[in-house]
Amino acid sequence: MADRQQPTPGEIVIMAGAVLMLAGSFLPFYEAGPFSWSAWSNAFSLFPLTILMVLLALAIGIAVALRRFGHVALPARVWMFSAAQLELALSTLIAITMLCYVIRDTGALDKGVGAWLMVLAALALPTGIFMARAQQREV
Amino acid sequence: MDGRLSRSGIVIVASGAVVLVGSLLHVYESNSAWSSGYFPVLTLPAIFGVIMAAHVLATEVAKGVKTSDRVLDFSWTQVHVALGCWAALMMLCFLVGEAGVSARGATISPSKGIGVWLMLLGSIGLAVGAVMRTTERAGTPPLG
Repeated sequence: MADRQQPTPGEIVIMAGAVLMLAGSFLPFYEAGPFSWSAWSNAFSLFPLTILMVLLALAIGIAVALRRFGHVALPARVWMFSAAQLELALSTLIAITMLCYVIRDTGALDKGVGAWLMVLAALALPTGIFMARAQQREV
Repeated sequence: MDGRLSRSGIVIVASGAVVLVGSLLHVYESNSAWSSGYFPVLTLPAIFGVIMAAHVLATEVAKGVKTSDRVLDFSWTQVHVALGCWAALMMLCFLVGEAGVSARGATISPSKGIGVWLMLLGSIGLAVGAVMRTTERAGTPPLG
């Protein structure tokens, strides 16, 4: 559609972060020899917190995509938070929690590619939100 | 401020203390939330509780302590709600989830200690206190 605007770099970072978070959740999060556990594994206090974070990240990505491509009027406020505040708060909390998972000393367990992808994606979310805000201010 | 805690402040400070004490007790087997393998994932709710309690004490009890009205885009009431609800959500997830592991038929499942229950109770208290704070400060419109 000609009237549809291209996504800003910040929005691309947010949407890519959400997709990366989902993809990373299926890859090994912790590994030990022939064994591996993904974010969906009910082990090492991963599930259900990691999956909750994946779903919230996806929700943020979908909300950004709907606003940009679907021209959908999403609620401007959720309880005491504006939509922008809610996205920033959730993405920051997700990033902090994911960082804790990779900082954690797991002893004989190695962190898998899924853990690194997920923390990268989690850090991309608030980064993208700040980028999108900066670009909005410039316009 | 007259140096007295509000009702929400009492709930937040008490809950923050409960979460912190719980984190120092046996959370899984003989490990605390600060033990290797659990730190900082399981410690995070306690850290959030300490931040919330410290802010309440600094602003409502201590005289002369000035804190900024906002943190980034958020009022302090919103910060309390976000941290309190996230801490409660995390503890509920840890309650439902398995801290151990099963592989090839062998299962290692550390039993939950008193600490995890205290942390759950305290983190729910943090969320409740933060929500109470929103009604006490309903006159302050959130920006966004």
